[in-house]
Amino acid sequence: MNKKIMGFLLAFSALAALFLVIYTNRNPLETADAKPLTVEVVIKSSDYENFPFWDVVRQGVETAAVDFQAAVSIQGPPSETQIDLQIEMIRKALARRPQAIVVAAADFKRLAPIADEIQKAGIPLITIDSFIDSDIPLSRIGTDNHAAGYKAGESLQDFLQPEEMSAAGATGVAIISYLRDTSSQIDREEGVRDYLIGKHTVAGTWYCNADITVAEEQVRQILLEMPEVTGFVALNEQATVGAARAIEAAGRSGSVTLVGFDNSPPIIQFLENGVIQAVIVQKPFNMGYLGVKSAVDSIRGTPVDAVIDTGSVCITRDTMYTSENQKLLFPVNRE
Amino acid sequence: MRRLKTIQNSMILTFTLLLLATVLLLGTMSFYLFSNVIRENTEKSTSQLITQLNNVIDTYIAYMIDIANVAAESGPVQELLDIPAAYVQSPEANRLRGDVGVFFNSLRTIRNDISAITLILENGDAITSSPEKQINPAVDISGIEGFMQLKAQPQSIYLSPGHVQNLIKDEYPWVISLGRSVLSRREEAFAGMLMVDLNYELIEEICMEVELGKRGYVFLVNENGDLVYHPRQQLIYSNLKSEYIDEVLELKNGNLAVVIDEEDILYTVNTSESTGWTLVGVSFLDEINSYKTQLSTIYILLALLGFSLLILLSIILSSRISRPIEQLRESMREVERGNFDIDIKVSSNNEVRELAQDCKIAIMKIRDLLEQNEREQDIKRKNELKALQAQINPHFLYNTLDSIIWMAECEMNQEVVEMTTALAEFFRLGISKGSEIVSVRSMIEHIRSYLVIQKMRYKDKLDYSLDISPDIYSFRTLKLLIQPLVENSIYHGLKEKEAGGIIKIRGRLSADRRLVFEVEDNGIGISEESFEQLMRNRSDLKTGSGIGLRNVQERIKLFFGDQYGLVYKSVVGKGTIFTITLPAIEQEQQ
Repeated sequence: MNKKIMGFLLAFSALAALFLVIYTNRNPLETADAKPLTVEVVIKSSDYENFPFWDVVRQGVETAAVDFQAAVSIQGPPSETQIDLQIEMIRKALARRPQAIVVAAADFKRLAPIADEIQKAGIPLITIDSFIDSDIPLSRIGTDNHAAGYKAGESLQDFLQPEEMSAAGATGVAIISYLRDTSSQIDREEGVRDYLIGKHTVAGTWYCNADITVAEEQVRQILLEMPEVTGFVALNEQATVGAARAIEAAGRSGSVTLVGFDNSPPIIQFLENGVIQAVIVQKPFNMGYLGVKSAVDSIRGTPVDAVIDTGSVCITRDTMYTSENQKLLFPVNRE
Repeated sequence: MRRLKTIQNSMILTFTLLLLATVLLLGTMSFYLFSNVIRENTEKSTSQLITQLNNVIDTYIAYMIDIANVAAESGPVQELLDIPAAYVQSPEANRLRGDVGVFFNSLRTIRNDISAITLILENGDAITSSPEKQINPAVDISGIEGFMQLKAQPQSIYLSPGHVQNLIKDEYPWVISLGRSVLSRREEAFAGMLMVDLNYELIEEICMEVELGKRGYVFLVNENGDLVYHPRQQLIYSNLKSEYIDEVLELKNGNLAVVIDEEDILYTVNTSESTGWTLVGVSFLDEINSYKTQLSTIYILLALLGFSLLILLSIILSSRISRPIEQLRESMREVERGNFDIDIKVSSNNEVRELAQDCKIAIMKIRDLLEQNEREQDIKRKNELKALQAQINPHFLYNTLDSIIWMAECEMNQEVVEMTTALAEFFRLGISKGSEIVSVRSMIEHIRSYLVIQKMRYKDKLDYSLDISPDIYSFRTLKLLIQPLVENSIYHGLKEKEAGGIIKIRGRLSADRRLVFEVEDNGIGISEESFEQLMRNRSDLKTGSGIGLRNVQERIKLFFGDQYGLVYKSVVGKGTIFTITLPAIEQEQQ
């Protein structure tokens, strides 16, 4: 048998086989038998009982893990303030050599060196909710805080009494913030001020250091000493609860307007009772989900958006129980 | 490149292409048939699963309706309703309220999947299965979902989608609420709503347990298009995901192929008659089709295996056909080189073997012909030699020389010169420079010399005439063809006669362009037997020249073929005519 012909035939059958493989298996990455992609997710807190926000993030992460067939492990320090522990956890996650890492940064500045380490390892990094002071992360996925603040201002405007506006020319508005110099609070405050400018006077910004009792005391003082202030915007959960407690205690429910941030059982009760007129709620499920989705995309080489706004929703007492909003307000079953 | 064109290679190439086409065609066809069967089975089993699941939910809801019925028609509830409106605040009414709460509580604790049982009266009164707990003051009791529907249609059943129940202060459980109307016995009129709250977790668990591949899931939607349950509800509200709700509601039952986020998805839809809920199984087609990868791997392996086997087979088969041909060709090459004594060995049992047999026969025939040719050449040579020998027939020479001596003694000088000249001419022409082929002219001169000598010897006993058409002089003929005939006539026909023996020699071109020579004598004639005897003998040494008639006949036939030759006509006592026919061969053609 001629060797040339034999070679030709072998090449031909090999080509035929290749053709069949390509034809029947057009997208090998998508098949169920493909090796799962490994993604490590490190969030700010794994205390899901006390931080339901992170429980919802976890739900989003786990849902995405199923949808994108990725092997995802999620961890975080017990408390949001344990920055060193989180850094250590990220380092351990990195040592497991995942194909992508998703981080919700406990500290904007102190996590920058670990971002460098991740980059050196050649692993794509995605940040969710809270970001890192670094250009390394491929994507920042979280609430557009400026837009959220702006929305809070709009909502406040809706609830302020027209008479009060005419009496003082413009209503005084107090902003109860949490931590000075944190990026999210700065953006939210700017958003509020950007909306209110030319409409109402901002009496000032108070920082409660994310402490309910501090916020409560500050609002109590404002209510006593600054009668022109009839509108409050509280920029996080603790500030909102503290402000609501002070307003309720002063018997001013309904006569002053409070727009808060985030959801928790106390906030829901205050909203139902009319102490809080509206809350701006973030979408932690989407943060977790899109974080993993972007990680998977970056592994597969699909371009990832540098900034993804997961959105926020303004919920009032009337819209609490719409099917969309109750899923955001009551993400988990709390009986 | 020459090798590429061999029969074997063409056959292998043809076989290969044919087989490849066949394998591809059959493989693809059976692959798709098989795929379809598997897909149909998958769809069928998914459909059965979804129907079964919806039946489970139906049964479950039916059970809850039973509980609602028991609660609504229970003694404490009816007694409470019997109290006239004026006595609603009476201690008796309060006692009954307590009874209702206790009864509801005991009913609720039968099953842990009931979150709450609540009676809501038209007057805004609400009695829950947890009497120790406060009603949420923020809730507008009569504005509760379902209340207005039941008031308008007391016979209907209200079934909510999954929602947060905020009726009890500080509690926000996810439930599905089932409501029926409560009618007062006295007036048979709508008196309120009895609501059973089912733990939403239960529906969630039922739906989550279903496995539709790794990524598939089910969702529940009510007739208004509200999601009762969806595992990706948050994504849907954020517009990160969408489902074809309207299409599903329109379809009610069956399969629907849709594309979501560039992915092919199969909806398996089942709508319950009793709850009005539509259960949709969402299967990802690439998962359903994941068996295809395995299937195609198996098919490719099988195809490759089969293909290589078939190629091997085609190589063997084609070599079985082409090898005998190759062998035959080798044998024929051997024959080309001149070896006729080969045995053609062909290792097959088909037409090629027959062909080989035919070749063998042909070669044998060629060999025989060659041998025959050789034999004939041999005879020719021998005959020629004999003819030459005849030239110097000693008897003829002695006799002639005797005649010359006798004539010299008688001083017949003129005759001596004449005879000697004729004898010299006779031998010169007979030898003819060794050539077998001579002109008719030369042959006739030769005979003339011979006849001159014989005439001088036999005097009056012999006379002769030569009548040769002049236009045949230039034709070719064999030497020593007519001389033996003349010699035969003299010795056998005329010698015995006293006188008057005449030999007439004629030569002409016949109408059919043959040379015809006739030698006629008026001798004693030849009987058939003696002619046969003459023909048998190669020579007749004792009676003359010795070149027999047979020699003449054989030479004509060997040189010119069987259609020419010597014939005779004889009448005993009267004479004989010999006739020779030869082809008319012109000098130029020689």
